[in-house]
Amino acid sequence: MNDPAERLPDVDFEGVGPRVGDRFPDVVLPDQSGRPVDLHRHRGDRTALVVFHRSADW
Amino acid sequence: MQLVELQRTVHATREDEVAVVAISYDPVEVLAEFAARQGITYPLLADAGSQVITALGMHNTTIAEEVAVWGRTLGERHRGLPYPGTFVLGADGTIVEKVFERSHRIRPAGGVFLERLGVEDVRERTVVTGAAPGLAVAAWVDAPRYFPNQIVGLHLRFAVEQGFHVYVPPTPPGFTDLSLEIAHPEGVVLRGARLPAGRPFRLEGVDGEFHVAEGEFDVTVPFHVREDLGSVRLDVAVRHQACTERICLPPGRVELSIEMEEIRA
Repeated sequence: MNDPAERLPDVDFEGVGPRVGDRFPDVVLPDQSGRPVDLHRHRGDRTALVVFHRSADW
Repeated sequence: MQLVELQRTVHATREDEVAVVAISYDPVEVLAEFAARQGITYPLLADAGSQVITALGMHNTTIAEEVAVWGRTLGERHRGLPYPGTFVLGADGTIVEKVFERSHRIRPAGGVFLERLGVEDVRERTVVTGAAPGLAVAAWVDAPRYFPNQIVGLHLRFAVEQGFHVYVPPTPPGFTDLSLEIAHPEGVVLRGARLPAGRPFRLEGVDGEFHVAEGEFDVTVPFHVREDLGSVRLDVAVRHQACTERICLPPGRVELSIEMEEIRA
């Protein structure tokens, strides 16, 4: 059976984005209410999941 | 969808310990409408123009090829898309793990990340995770060190993508059912792994009865190690195929390795 996933381009994800072991960069962006959110400040001393995703629209 | 699933699992149960933050190129208005409709209360950050996505090196530069593989047309909406990555941060803000998928749609369930973050009862344990189309797997052992000839459990937690199921044995020939292979050094003695029985399922137009498992389920493999093996590594390979009533994702393979040290007197 055809497996399209095998034809996806090879990407070395270790080299994509910030690296394991580094501090996650400072990010300040508006959230859904329009207020700016400083990611680390919002996190405080909690652990975190930072999820990059495509549009919420499609 | 992953954002909603994280709201209902990680955010709803562990907000005091784990911050969930999402980043996309959507403008605030689109995120506001989505958050209201889906009941998302953690921050959905608006990186309109993908400036942060690009500055962080997360911009998907292979999107044209990917779109071609899926048989779609490259469009304006693909501009500035990030790779579908999730970063797990420790309490000090350091990146503990990065999990990338090959599609935005199929991503590990929140429960898998909870284990990885050391929440619930596994704070001291190393949890390894892996994912393939439609399935995320987390693995850990009872303790980081084993005592010779004492039985230890290797735990595997499976999270099937919502809306999908995986086939479990017995399955008619030609279909990939869930299977486990564990490679180990001589001197490690494994007990059998019991996969879930699943529920009976019939596929229209296909002879034979299937059995399917869905949602989250655990498999424990008890084992013991004979004396003087020192450091031990278990290599787990999971094969599976995730399907809905109508479509199947490509069969997948997840490989995980767990290491244990020996407790010396």
